[in-house]
Amino acid sequence: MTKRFDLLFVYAVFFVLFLYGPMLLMPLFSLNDGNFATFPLKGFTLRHYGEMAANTSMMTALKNSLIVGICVSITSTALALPAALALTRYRVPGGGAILSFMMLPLVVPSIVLAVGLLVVILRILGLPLSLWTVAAGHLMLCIPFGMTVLMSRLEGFDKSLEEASRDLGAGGWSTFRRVTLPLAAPGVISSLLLCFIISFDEFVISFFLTGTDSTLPVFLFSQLRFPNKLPGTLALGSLILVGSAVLVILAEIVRKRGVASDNPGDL
Amino acid sequence: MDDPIIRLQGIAKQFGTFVALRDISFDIGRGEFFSLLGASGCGKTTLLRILAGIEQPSKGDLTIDGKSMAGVPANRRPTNMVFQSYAIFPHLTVRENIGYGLVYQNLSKAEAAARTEEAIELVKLTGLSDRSAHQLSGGQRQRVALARALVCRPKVLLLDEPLSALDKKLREEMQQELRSLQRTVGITFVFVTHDQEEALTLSDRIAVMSGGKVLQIDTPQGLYERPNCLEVAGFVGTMNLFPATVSGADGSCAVANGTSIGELRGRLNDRPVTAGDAIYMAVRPEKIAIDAAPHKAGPNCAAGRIASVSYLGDRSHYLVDVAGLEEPVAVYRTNLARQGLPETAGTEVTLSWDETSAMVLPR
Repeated sequence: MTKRFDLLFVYAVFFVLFLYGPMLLMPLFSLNDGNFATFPLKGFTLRHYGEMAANTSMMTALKNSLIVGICVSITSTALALPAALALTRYRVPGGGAILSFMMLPLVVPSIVLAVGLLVVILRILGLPLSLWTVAAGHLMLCIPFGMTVLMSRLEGFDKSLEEASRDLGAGGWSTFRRVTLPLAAPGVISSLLLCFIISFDEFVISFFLTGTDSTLPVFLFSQLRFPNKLPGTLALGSLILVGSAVLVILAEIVRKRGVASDNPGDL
Repeated sequence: MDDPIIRLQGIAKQFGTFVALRDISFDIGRGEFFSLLGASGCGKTTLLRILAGIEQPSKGDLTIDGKSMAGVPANRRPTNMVFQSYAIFPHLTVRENIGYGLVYQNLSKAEAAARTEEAIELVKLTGLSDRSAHQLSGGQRQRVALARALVCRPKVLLLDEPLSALDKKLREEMQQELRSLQRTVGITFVFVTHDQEEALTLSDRIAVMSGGKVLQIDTPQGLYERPNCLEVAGFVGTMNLFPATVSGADGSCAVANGTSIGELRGRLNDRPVTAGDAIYMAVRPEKIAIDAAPHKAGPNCAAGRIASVSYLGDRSHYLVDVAGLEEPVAVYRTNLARQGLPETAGTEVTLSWDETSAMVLPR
C-alpha cells in the first residue's frame, strides 16, 4: 500500500514539474542579473522590471491588450446573454442548429478563422487593420465561450422563479432585471473573466488582424529576435502570470460559491 | 351556477402530439375551496397553469370574474399562484419576497410596507422577515409563498400541491391553517393535489381528473358516497367490488341474485339498470360489519376467514378471504371497546352490510 502511494507521489511530482516547471523558470530568470536566460544564475536584481516599465512600446502594447480585453469581454457577454436566454427559455425554431453554428469558432482552427477574417476585412469590407479589427476577431472567438458559461448557469436555476415573477405582476423586462439577472450574476462574472483571458492571450487572430498598434502577445513575439530585450519580456511575463493566476482563482471562487449553496442565486 | 368566479368552456391543451387536457368545462363559485384531484400526469397542473396564464389553452374559453382571459398574460390576471417548489426568490429576504408583487399595484411606499407587514403577520412569520430565503425551513418557505401571493389580493389563489414537500405532521397542521386562512380572507382557492385525503379534508368541491378529462365534480361527501365510475371510486378511498349481474330492480335498489356470495342489493344512484347488465356492487370497507356470529341467511351477507389484521390504534383494518371472490374483502372497524372478536388470522367471521351502504357501479 505504502509503496503504491510512493510511486504515485513521485509520478505526481514529475507531472506538476513538467506542467509548471517551464513557467516557473520565467520569474526566476526575470530576477537574474544577466541578459541570457541560462544557468548558472548570476545574482539577484530588479533592474529588468525597471527596464520593462521604461519600455514605452511594450507598455503601449500592454495597454492595447487590456483595452481590447475589457471591451471584448463586456461586449461578448452582453451579446451572449440574450442569446443564451433565448435558447434556454424558449423553444426557438431551429434552436439546435443556431447553437451549433454559434459554437463553430470553438472547433475551427484559429488560423483558418484569421485568414478568413483578414480577407473579409481587407477585400470585402475594405477596412484598415487596427485594434478595432482585432477586437472584432476576438469577439467572434469569445461569444461561444460566454454562451457556454451562461447557458449552463441559466439551465441550472428553477424556471418557476421566473414564472412566479410574471405571476406576481412583473412584465418581461422587469422579471429579467429583478430575477433572471441577479440569479445569473455568477455566470455573467465567469463569462466576463473567461472572455477577458481569452482575448488577452490570443495570438493568431491578433497577429493577422493587427495594424500599427499591436496587442501584447504580438508585440512579445516580435521582440524575440532581440536577445537583449528578453529579460524585460520575462519580467512582464512574470507579472502577467501572477495577474492571471489571481483572476482564475477569483473566477473559481465565484463559481464554487454559486455551486455550493443549494440556492443558485447566492453569491 | 350564477355569476361564477371562474368559467371554463371546452378548454383543451396539446403539447405537440400529447393531449394534456380535453374539453374541460365547469364553473368555480366565488369563495369556494375547489380542488383538482388526480394522479400525476392527469392534467391538473396544466389546468392550473392555464388559469394562471403561464400556459395558453389550445382551444376553449376561460373567463375569470366575468372577463375573458384570452390573450391576457399572467402578470395582468387577477390570480396568484403558490408553486409546488414554492419558487421563493433566493436572492431576496422574506420581506422582499412577500413585497415583490406590490410594486406593480400602484401603492404608496407606506401602503405597500403596511400590507407586507400585515401579510407577514397573517402567516405568522413575524421576526423572520429579514432572513434570507435559504435560511428557512420547508414550512416557512410555504408560508412565504402563501403570503407573497395573498398580499397581492388576488380574486383567485392557485395552489399547486403546496403541501406535498412537507412531512406528515406539518402537512396536517398546514392543512388546518390553509382552511382557516381561506375562511379568513374569503378568496377563492383552486388547489391541485394527488392526495385524496387532503382533498377531502380541505375542499368544498373536488374535480377528479384522469387522462386530461374531468371524471366527476362533487362535494367530498358526494364523491365518497356516490362515485360515478370505478376510477373515482378507486381513487377516493378504498372500495370493495363484488362482480354481479343485475336480475332486477326494487325501487331505488338493484337486485342481483345468484352471485358467488348469494343475493346482493345496492343503491342505483339514479343510474338506471336493466336485467342482465354486468355491474359491480361496491361497498366501502367501513360500512361492512364484521362479527364472529355464524352466517345468517339473507342478502348482502358473506362468510369468510380473516386473512390479516392491521391494528392502527383507533381502528383495525381486516382483509377477509371469502369463498368465490378473487380479492380479499377489506373491512375497517373502529376500536370502540373490547368486542369479543379474536384479532387473529384464520378466524371464521361473517360480513354483512345494509343495502343503502352498497352501490351499483358499471362494470
